[in-house]
Amino acid sequence: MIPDSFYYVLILLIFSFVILAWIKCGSLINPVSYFNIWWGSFLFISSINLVGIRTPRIETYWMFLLALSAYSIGSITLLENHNTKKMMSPGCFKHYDYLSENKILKIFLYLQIITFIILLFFFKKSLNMLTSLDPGTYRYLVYTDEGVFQGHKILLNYYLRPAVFITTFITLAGVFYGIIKKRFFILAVVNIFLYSMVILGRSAIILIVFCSIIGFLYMYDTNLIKLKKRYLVILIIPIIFVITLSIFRKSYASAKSATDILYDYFIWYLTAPFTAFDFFLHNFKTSVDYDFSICRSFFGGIEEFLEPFIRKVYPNFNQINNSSHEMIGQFRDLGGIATHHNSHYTMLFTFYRDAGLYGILIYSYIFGVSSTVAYNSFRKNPSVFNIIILILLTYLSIMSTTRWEFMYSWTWLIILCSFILTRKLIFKRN
Amino acid sequence: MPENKITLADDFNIFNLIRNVWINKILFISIISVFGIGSIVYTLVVDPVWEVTSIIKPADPSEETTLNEASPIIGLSLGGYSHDPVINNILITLKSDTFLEIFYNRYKNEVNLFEFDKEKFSDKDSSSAEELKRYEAIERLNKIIDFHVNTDHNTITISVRLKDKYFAYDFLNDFLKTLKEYIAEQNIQEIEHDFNFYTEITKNSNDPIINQMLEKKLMEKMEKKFKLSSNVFRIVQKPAVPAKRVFPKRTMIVILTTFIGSLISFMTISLIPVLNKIYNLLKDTNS
Repeated sequence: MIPDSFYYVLILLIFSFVILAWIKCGSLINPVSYFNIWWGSFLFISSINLVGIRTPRIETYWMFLLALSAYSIGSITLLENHNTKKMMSPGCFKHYDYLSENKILKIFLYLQIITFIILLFFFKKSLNMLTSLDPGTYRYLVYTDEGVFQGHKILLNYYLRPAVFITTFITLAGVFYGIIKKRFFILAVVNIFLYSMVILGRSAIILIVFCSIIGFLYMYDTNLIKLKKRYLVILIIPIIFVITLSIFRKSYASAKSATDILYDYFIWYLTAPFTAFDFFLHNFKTSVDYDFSICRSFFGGIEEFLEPFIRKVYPNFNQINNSSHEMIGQFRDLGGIATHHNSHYTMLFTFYRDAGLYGILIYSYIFGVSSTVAYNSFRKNPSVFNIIILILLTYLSIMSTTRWEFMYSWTWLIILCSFILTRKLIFKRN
Repeated sequence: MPENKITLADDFNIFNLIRNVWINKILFISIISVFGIGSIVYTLVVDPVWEVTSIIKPADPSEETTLNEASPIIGLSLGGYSHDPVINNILITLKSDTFLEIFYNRYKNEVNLFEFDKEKFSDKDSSSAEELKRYEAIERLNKIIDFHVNTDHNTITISVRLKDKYFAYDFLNDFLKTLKEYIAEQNIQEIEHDFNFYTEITKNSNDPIINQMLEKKLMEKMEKKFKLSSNVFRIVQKPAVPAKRVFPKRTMIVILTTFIGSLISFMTISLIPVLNKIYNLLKDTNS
């Protein structure tokens, strides 16, 4: 049972943090607002139990509020007010020949034609597989040795997936500034759609939609872009794609209507992780079921990336994600429609796995500080790299209601490759 | 190609924050002290809470232990709560007001469990007061009794949190005993309907073959009745008087609160220049 005091504290915290951040940086479009509004809304939805998923205990809710507060306090402390609005105007970098200055990026973008051909090969393979498998089973098998990437795991992990995501981020930022031709962005979008169809997953498309909105708002706030009606029309395409894919996947398992499926799974997807974290807290005991991993889970993606190389030196090396997946990988019944929930346990799972309650406090604070540093850097120097990092961190901060994506290598690869590929900054500070 | 250059003044950096902290050191230390001392006082003043826990292992779902025909099929949940109908049955009972009402009636006058505010009921007639008391008591029981299913091991953890640890221990023992009896009784009541039905048919039947079949069925029902009455769950972890309180965890509360206090203190110091600016702006506007 959730006491009324929880709602009072929740509303008070969100209002206070949003207003303080606004006062501090002079804009409502900042990481603190995104984080608080998103987290606050879904904490509220989770507490009123809309689709019958078991409600987490009040102690767990206090932990969520602790993380929310630590993130916001860390973020607000370092927020700066760099008003570069007057120096900018929409399309002011349009004539800057970015690609001729940056040959490596140009080569990388042309390489995406090869990515497209590889994806077409897997797409054809996936269509063949789908004639004998239902979408649910296909999706379940997709990353296993029996899935569509059978025998091509290294290609998937070290080229295909990073290439698709990195190109999307770079071309998105480039199109925002008007310094990268739209054809590169269209190719990146086609690739990400193909990739989504191959894996039958929505996350890549959701990422495009969210990152476009987040990036647009930051650019709009810095007076670097103007709102045009056609942007809204373009945005509808991926949303329709996600809806169609969701219905295609779930309609096999359920006789419900399309709207029911969307409503149920949207709420499930974004509120069940709170219950899942509560489940973890009450079923897994420290030093019995697991030991604190200190920093390893927080930086799990680096381990995941380096694992094949480390194994050459230490054959018995076991990355921390494997033991975490043993706990969160199993399908669990969380009540209501969430009868086979797995994997998404909020970012608090990773923080708690690292250092318990102290981990939640410290890592949330560090995350808040990092987001603010990216935000300040962008406002001081709106370079391609800075906007990519800002969009990525903001996206991951709102998606942290589901899980800590830095557990996976793709996030670190985006940061690393974006740095290498866009190191030629637009602005150089005197 | 001319290089775009923008000169931006750094009006804030980490050194500014440290300098501001040094300037406002008294405020900085005061905020931390308020949080630190406040947390110590709080942990000393607040009533301790003790938790008694027990783990039960429900009987495996089989024909002998469940009346529910819909046993779990290849991992699909049919009850919407647990895969296991026996666990489901226990959980439904634990959540039911009818079951909790037994404890309200039994412990109505026990101050360790229910502390009714007499003034609250003074202006109400006896039946309204009784209804309100029942409502409050069930709400209180829902708060102090906690249960959680471990779907990996098919066990249920039941815990009771109270201010008196000895009473909590006695209460949980009684709770488990009552739970077992209650579920067994419910199961038997349900099967007795079937039993009466078959007895009635046997009486009216003249065909010896049908009679033989019905008697066999009756025997089966009798056997099941016996099993259902004795096979509900077994206690894996017995309740024990707790040695340590669960609330307040003094060390953790003090460390965490002081740490949070220091973070808030940093934030407050970083806000001072902005708030001063706003204050001066408002002052100028007014003058």
